[in-house]
Amino acid sequence: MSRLSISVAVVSVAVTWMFVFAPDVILTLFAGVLLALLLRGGGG
Amino acid sequence: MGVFVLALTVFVVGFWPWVAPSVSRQLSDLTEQVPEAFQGVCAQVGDFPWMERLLDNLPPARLMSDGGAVATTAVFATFGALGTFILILFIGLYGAADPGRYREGFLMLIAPPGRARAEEVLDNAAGTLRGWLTAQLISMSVVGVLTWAGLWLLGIPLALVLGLIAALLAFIPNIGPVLAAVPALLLAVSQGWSTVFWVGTVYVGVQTLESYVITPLVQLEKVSLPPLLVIGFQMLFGVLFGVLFGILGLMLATPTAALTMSLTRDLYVEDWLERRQDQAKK
Repeated sequence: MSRLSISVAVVSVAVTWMFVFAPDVILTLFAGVLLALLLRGGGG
Repeated sequence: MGVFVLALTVFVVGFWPWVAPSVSRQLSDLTEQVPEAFQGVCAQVGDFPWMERLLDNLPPARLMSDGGAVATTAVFATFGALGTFILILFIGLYGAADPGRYREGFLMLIAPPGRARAEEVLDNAAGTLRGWLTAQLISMSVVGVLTWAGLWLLGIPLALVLGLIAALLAFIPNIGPVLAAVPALLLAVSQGWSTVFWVGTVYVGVQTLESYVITPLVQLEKVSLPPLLVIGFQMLFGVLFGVLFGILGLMLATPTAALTMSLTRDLYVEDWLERRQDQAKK
Protein backbone atom coordinates (compact mmCIF):
# COMPACT_ATOMS: atom_id res chain seq x y z
CA MET A 1 0.00 0.00 0.00
CA SER A 2 1.48 3.34 -1.10
CA ARG A 3 1.99 6.27 1.26
CA LEU A 4 -0.48 8.26 -0.87
CA SER A 5 -3.24 5.68 -0.29
CA ILE A 6 -2.53 5.63 3.45
CA SER A 7 -2.71 9.44 3.69
CA VAL A 8 -5.98 9.52 1.70
CA ALA A 9 -7.37 6.81 4.02
CA VAL A 10 -6.32 8.77 7.15
CA VAL A 11 -7.97 12.00 5.94
CA SER A 12 -11.14 10.10 4.90
CA VAL A 13 -11.41 8.34 8.27
CA ALA A 14 -10.90 11.66 10.14
CA VAL A 15 -13.60 13.45 8.10
CA THR A 16 -16.05 10.52 8.41
CA TRP A 17 -15.43 10.31 12.18
CA MET A 18 -16.22 14.03 12.54
CA PHE A 19 -19.36 13.72 10.42
CA VAL A 20 -20.68 10.88 12.54
CA PHE A 21 -19.61 11.95 16.05
CA ALA A 22 -19.31 15.75 15.80
CA PRO A 23 -21.41 17.03 12.89
CA ASP A 24 -21.77 20.46 14.52
CA VAL A 25 -18.00 20.86 14.59
CA ILE A 26 -17.55 20.04 10.92
CA LEU A 27 -20.46 22.27 9.88
CA THR A 28 -19.13 25.17 11.98
CA LEU A 29 -15.67 24.68 10.45
CA PHE A 30 -17.17 24.57 6.95
CA ALA A 31 -19.18 27.76 7.59
CA GLY A 32 -15.98 29.42 8.89
CA VAL A 33 -14.06 28.37 5.78
CA LEU A 34 -16.86 29.79 3.59
CA LEU A 35 -16.64 33.08 5.48
CA ALA A 36 -12.85 33.11 5.10
CA LEU A 37 -13.20 32.53 1.33
CA LEU A 38 -15.69 35.38 1.16
CA LEU A 39 -13.42 37.72 3.14
CA ARG A 40 -10.44 36.90 0.93
CA GLY A 41 -12.54 37.74 -2.14
CA GLY A 42 -10.69 37.51 -5.45
CA GLY A 43 -7.28 37.62 -3.75
CA GLY A 44 -7.38 33.88 -3.20
CA MET B 1 -9.65 41.54 3.29
CA GLY B 2 -8.50 45.11 3.91
CA VAL B 3 -11.27 46.45 1.68
CA PHE B 4 -13.82 44.29 3.52
CA VAL B 5 -12.71 45.49 6.96
CA LEU B 6 -12.74 49.11 5.73
CA ALA B 7 -16.24 48.67 4.22
CA LEU B 8 -17.46 47.00 7.44
CA THR B 9 -16.05 49.85 9.57
CA VAL B 10 -17.63 52.50 7.31
CA PHE B 11 -20.94 50.59 7.49
CA VAL B 12 -20.85 50.18 11.27
CA VAL B 13 -19.77 53.75 11.99
CA GLY B 14 -21.68 55.64 9.31
CA PHE B 15 -24.68 53.63 8.24
CA TRP B 16 -25.64 51.26 11.03
CA PRO B 17 -26.55 53.90 13.70
CA TRP B 18 -29.07 55.27 11.20
CA VAL B 19 -30.55 51.89 10.20
CA ALA B 20 -30.25 49.95 13.50
CA PRO B 21 -33.03 51.72 15.47
CA SER B 22 -35.44 51.24 12.58
CA VAL B 23 -34.54 47.55 12.11
CA SER B 24 -34.63 46.90 15.85
CA ARG B 25 -38.03 48.62 16.25
CA GLN B 26 -39.45 46.76 13.25
CA LEU B 27 -38.11 43.42 14.54
CA SER B 28 -39.73 43.98 17.92
CA ASP B 29 -43.01 45.01 16.21
CA LEU B 30 -42.80 41.91 14.01
CA THR B 31 -42.44 39.56 16.99
CA GLU B 32 -45.59 41.12 18.46
CA GLN B 33 -47.64 41.45 15.30
CA VAL B 34 -47.06 38.02 13.73
CA PRO B 35 -48.59 36.06 16.68
CA GLU B 36 -51.50 38.57 16.73
CA ALA B 37 -51.98 38.14 12.99
CA PHE B 38 -51.89 34.36 13.45
CA GLN B 39 -54.63 34.61 16.11
CA GLY B 40 -56.61 36.78 13.68
CA VAL B 41 -56.32 34.12 10.97
CA CYS B 42 -57.45 31.47 13.49
CA ALA B 43 -60.53 33.60 14.33
CA GLN B 44 -61.37 34.09 10.66
CA VAL B 45 -61.18 30.42 9.76
CA GLY B 46 -63.32 29.43 12.76
CA ASP B 47 -66.24 28.95 10.38
CA PHE B 48 -64.49 26.00 8.72
CA PRO B 49 -64.03 23.05 11.12
CA TRP B 50 -61.49 21.30 8.87
CA MET B 51 -59.30 24.46 8.78
CA GLU B 52 -59.50 24.69 12.56
CA ARG B 53 -58.24 21.11 12.90
CA LEU B 54 -55.40 21.87 10.45
CA LEU B 55 -54.31 25.01 12.36
CA ASP B 56 -54.36 23.14 15.67
CA ASN B 57 -51.74 20.80 14.25
CA LEU B 58 -49.47 23.53 12.87
CA PRO B 59 -46.20 24.10 14.80
CA PRO B 60 -46.88 27.85 15.53
CA ALA B 61 -50.17 26.93 17.24
CA ARG B 62 -48.36 24.39 19.39
CA LEU B 63 -45.53 26.82 20.10
CA MET B 64 -47.90 29.58 21.21
CA SER B 65 -49.95 27.34 23.46
CA ASP B 66 -46.83 26.10 25.21
CA GLY B 67 -45.68 29.42 26.78
CA GLY B 68 -42.89 28.95 29.32
CA ALA B 69 -41.27 25.83 27.88
CA VAL B 70 -40.96 27.48 24.48
CA ALA B 71 -39.40 30.62 26.01
CA THR B 72 -36.76 28.53 27.83
CA THR B 73 -35.97 26.57 24.66
CA ALA B 74 -35.72 29.83 22.70
CA VAL B 75 -33.25 31.31 25.21
CA PHE B 76 -31.01 28.21 25.07
CA ALA B 77 -31.29 28.06 21.27
CA THR B 78 -30.34 31.75 21.02
CA PHE B 79 -27.22 31.31 23.18
CA GLY B 80 -26.29 28.16 21.26
CA ALA B 81 -26.76 29.94 17.95
CA LEU B 82 -24.84 33.00 19.22
CA GLY B 83 -21.93 30.79 20.30
CA THR B 84 -21.85 29.04 16.91
CA PHE B 85 -22.04 32.42 15.13
CA ILE B 86 -19.08 33.79 17.14
CA LEU B 87 -17.07 30.63 16.42
CA ILE B 88 -17.81 30.90 12.69
CA LEU B 89 -16.80 34.59 12.77
CA PHE B 90 -13.46 33.78 14.44
CA ILE B 91 -12.69 30.85 12.12
CA GLY B 92 -13.53 33.07 9.14
CA LEU B 93 -11.39 36.00 10.33
CA TYR B 94 -8.36 33.88 11.25
CA GLY B 95 -8.70 31.83 8.04
CA ALA B 96 -8.91 34.98 5.92
CA ALA B 97 -5.99 36.68 7.72
CA ASP B 98 -3.49 33.88 7.04
CA PRO B 99 -4.92 31.15 4.78
CA GLY B 100 -1.47 29.94 3.63
CA ARG B 101 -0.66 28.43 7.03
CA TYR B 102 -3.80 26.25 7.14
CA ARG B 103 -3.51 25.35 3.48
CA GLU B 104 0.10 24.20 3.91
CA GLY B 105 -0.83 22.35 7.10
CA PHE B 106 -3.53 20.42 5.25
CA LEU B 107 -1.24 19.69 2.28
CA MET B 108 1.42 18.31 4.66
CA LEU B 109 -1.05 15.54 5.54
CA ILE B 110 -0.98 14.39 1.92
CA ALA B 111 1.97 12.23 0.79
CA PRO B 112 4.53 14.29 -1.25
CA PRO B 113 3.73 12.73 -4.69
CA GLY B 114 0.09 13.78 -4.38
CA ARG B 115 0.62 17.32 -3.02
CA ALA B 116 0.67 19.17 -6.36
CA ARG B 117 -2.59 17.54 -7.42
CA ALA B 118 -4.13 18.10 -3.97
CA GLU B 119 -3.26 21.80 -4.28
CA GLU B 120 -4.97 21.91 -7.69
CA VAL B 121 -8.08 20.18 -6.30
CA LEU B 122 -8.16 22.61 -3.33
CA ASP B 123 -7.89 25.61 -5.71
CA ASN B 124 -10.75 24.29 -7.86
CA ALA B 125 -12.94 23.67 -4.78
CA ALA B 126 -12.19 27.14 -3.35
CA GLY B 127 -12.89 28.73 -6.75
CA THR B 128 -16.23 26.94 -7.05
CA LEU B 129 -17.28 27.91 -3.51
CA ARG B 130 -16.14 31.53 -3.92
CA GLY B 131 -18.01 31.84 -7.24
CA TRP B 132 -21.15 30.36 -5.72
CA LEU B 133 -20.94 32.61 -2.64
CA THR B 134 -20.51 35.78 -4.70
CA ALA B 135 -23.46 34.89 -6.93
CA GLN B 136 -25.53 34.02 -3.87
CA LEU B 137 -24.80 37.33 -2.12
CA ILE B 138 -25.75 39.31 -5.23
CA SER B 139 -29.06 37.45 -5.64
CA MET B 140 -29.78 37.76 -1.88
CA SER B 141 -29.31 41.54 -2.06
CA VAL B 142 -31.57 41.81 -5.12
CA VAL B 143 -34.26 39.64 -3.45
CA GLY B 144 -34.11 41.81 -0.30
CA VAL B 145 -34.37 45.12 -2.16
CA LEU B 146 -37.16 43.94 -4.52
CA THR B 147 -39.20 42.40 -1.67
CA TRP B 148 -38.82 45.57 0.42
CA ALA B 149 -39.83 47.78 -2.55
CA GLY B 150 -42.83 45.58 -3.42
CA LEU B 151 -44.13 45.43 0.15
CA TRP B 152 -43.50 49.16 0.67
CA LEU B 153 -45.51 49.99 -2.46
CA LEU B 154 -48.35 47.79 -1.18
CA GLY B 155 -48.25 49.64 2.15
CA ILE B 156 -47.46 46.53 4.21
CA PRO B 157 -46.15 47.45 7.69
CA LEU B 158 -42.56 46.48 8.61
CA ALA B 159 -41.54 46.24 4.93
CA LEU B 160 -37.86 46.89 5.77
CA VAL B 161 -37.48 44.03 8.23
CA LEU B 162 -39.53 41.69 5.98
CA GLY B 163 -37.17 42.55 3.09
CA LEU B 164 -34.19 41.82 5.36
CA ILE B 165 -35.69 38.44 6.34
CA ALA B 166 -36.35 37.64 2.65
CA ALA B 167 -32.71 38.49 1.81
CA LEU B 168 -31.29 36.34 4.64
CA LEU B 169 -33.58 33.37 3.93
CA ALA B 170 -32.73 33.54 0.21
CA PHE B 171 -29.46 31.85 1.29
CA ILE B 172 -31.51 28.64 1.58
CA PRO B 173 -32.76 27.84 -1.94
CA ASN B 174 -36.30 26.45 -2.44
CA ILE B 175 -37.24 26.41 1.26
CA GLY B 176 -36.07 29.90 2.33
CA PRO B 177 -38.43 31.98 0.14
CA VAL B 178 -41.45 29.99 1.40
CA LEU B 179 -40.43 30.59 5.03
CA ALA B 180 -39.83 34.30 4.29
CA ALA B 181 -43.33 34.77 2.84
CA VAL B 182 -45.16 33.43 5.93
CA PRO B 183 -44.83 36.52 8.24
CA ALA B 184 -45.67 38.92 5.38
CA LEU B 185 -48.78 36.94 4.42
CA LEU B 186 -49.91 36.81 8.06
CA LEU B 187 -49.50 40.59 8.40
CA ALA B 188 -51.39 41.13 5.13
CA VAL B 189 -54.45 39.24 6.45
CA SER B 190 -55.37 42.22 8.64
CA GLN B 191 -55.61 44.37 5.49
CA GLY B 192 -57.93 42.03 3.61
CA TRP B 193 -57.63 39.03 1.32
CA SER B 194 -56.87 41.12 -1.78
CA THR B 195 -53.70 42.39 -0.01
CA VAL B 196 -52.80 38.77 0.82
CA PHE B 197 -53.09 38.02 -2.91
CA TRP B 198 -50.83 40.96 -3.87
CA VAL B 199 -48.25 40.12 -1.18
CA GLY B 200 -48.23 36.53 -2.48
CA THR B 201 -47.75 37.89 -5.99
CA VAL B 202 -44.77 40.02 -4.84
CA TYR B 203 -43.06 36.98 -3.26
CA VAL B 204 -43.80 34.65 -6.21
CA GLY B 205 -42.71 37.39 -8.65
CA VAL B 206 -39.43 38.11 -6.84
CA GLN B 207 -38.73 34.38 -6.48
CA THR B 208 -39.40 33.76 -10.20
CA LEU B 209 -37.19 36.70 -11.17
CA GLU B 210 -34.45 35.43 -8.84
CA SER B 211 -34.60 31.84 -10.12
CA TYR B 212 -34.89 32.48 -13.86
CA VAL B 213 -33.15 35.83 -14.43
CA ILE B 214 -30.86 36.99 -11.60
CA THR B 215 -29.23 33.71 -10.51
CA PRO B 216 -28.50 32.46 -14.08
CA LEU B 217 -27.05 35.91 -14.89
CA VAL B 218 -24.74 36.16 -11.89
CA GLN B 219 -23.71 32.50 -11.70
CA LEU B 220 -20.90 31.54 -14.02
CA GLU B 221 -21.24 28.20 -15.84
CA LYS B 222 -18.76 26.54 -13.45
CA VAL B 223 -20.80 27.29 -10.34
CA SER B 224 -24.29 26.62 -11.68
CA LEU B 225 -25.70 23.74 -9.68
CA PRO B 226 -28.27 21.27 -11.03
CA PRO B 227 -31.52 21.94 -9.07
CA LEU B 228 -32.09 18.22 -8.38
CA LEU B 229 -28.66 17.94 -6.76
CA VAL B 230 -29.45 20.91 -4.49
CA ILE B 231 -32.87 19.50 -3.51
CA GLY B 232 -31.27 16.09 -2.90
CA PHE B 233 -28.69 17.60 -0.53
CA GLN B 234 -31.36 19.68 1.22
CA MET B 235 -33.42 16.52 1.80
CA LEU B 236 -30.35 14.67 3.03
CA PHE B 237 -29.24 17.49 5.38
CA GLY B 238 -32.64 18.85 6.38
CA VAL B 239 -34.81 15.77 6.64
CA LEU B 240 -32.66 12.66 6.99
CA PHE B 241 -29.94 14.29 9.12
CA GLY B 242 -32.22 17.01 10.51
CA VAL B 243 -31.74 15.82 14.07
CA LEU B 244 -27.96 15.92 13.68
CA PHE B 245 -27.43 19.04 11.56
CA GLY B 246 -30.43 21.31 12.30
CA ILE B 247 -30.81 24.70 10.62
CA LEU B 248 -27.05 25.10 10.04
CA GLY B 249 -27.15 21.87 8.00
CA LEU B 250 -30.01 23.18 5.87
CA MET B 251 -28.13 26.46 5.29
CA LEU B 252 -24.95 24.65 4.28
CA ALA B 253 -26.64 22.01 2.09
CA THR B 254 -26.08 23.99 -1.15
CA PRO B 255 -22.39 24.87 -0.61
CA THR B 256 -21.84 21.22 0.38
CA ALA B 257 -23.46 20.20 -2.92
CA ALA B 258 -21.12 22.62 -4.76
CA LEU B 259 -18.08 21.25 -2.90
CA THR B 260 -19.11 17.63 -3.51
CA MET B 261 -19.62 18.34 -7.22
CA SER B 262 -16.16 19.91 -7.54
CA LEU B 263 -14.41 17.10 -5.60
CA THR B 264 -16.29 14.37 -7.50
CA ARG B 265 -15.33 15.91 -10.85
CA ASP B 266 -11.63 16.22 -9.90
CA LEU B 267 -11.00 13.14 -7.77
CA TYR B 268 -13.46 10.55 -9.09
CA VAL B 269 -14.11 11.48 -12.73
CA GLU B 270 -10.71 12.93 -13.76
CA ASP B 271 -8.30 11.08 -11.45
CA TRP B 272 -10.02 7.74 -11.26
CA LEU B 273 -12.40 7.02 -14.18
CA GLU B 274 -10.62 8.92 -16.96
CA ARG B 275 -7.11 7.97 -15.87
CA ARG B 276 -8.07 4.27 -15.83
CA GLN B 277 -9.47 4.71 -19.34
CA ASP B 278 -6.20 6.36 -20.47
CA GLN B 279 -4.17 3.54 -18.92
CA ALA B 280 -6.35 0.93 -20.65
CA LYS B 281 -5.75 2.64 -24.03
CA LYS B 282 -1.98 2.50 -23.51
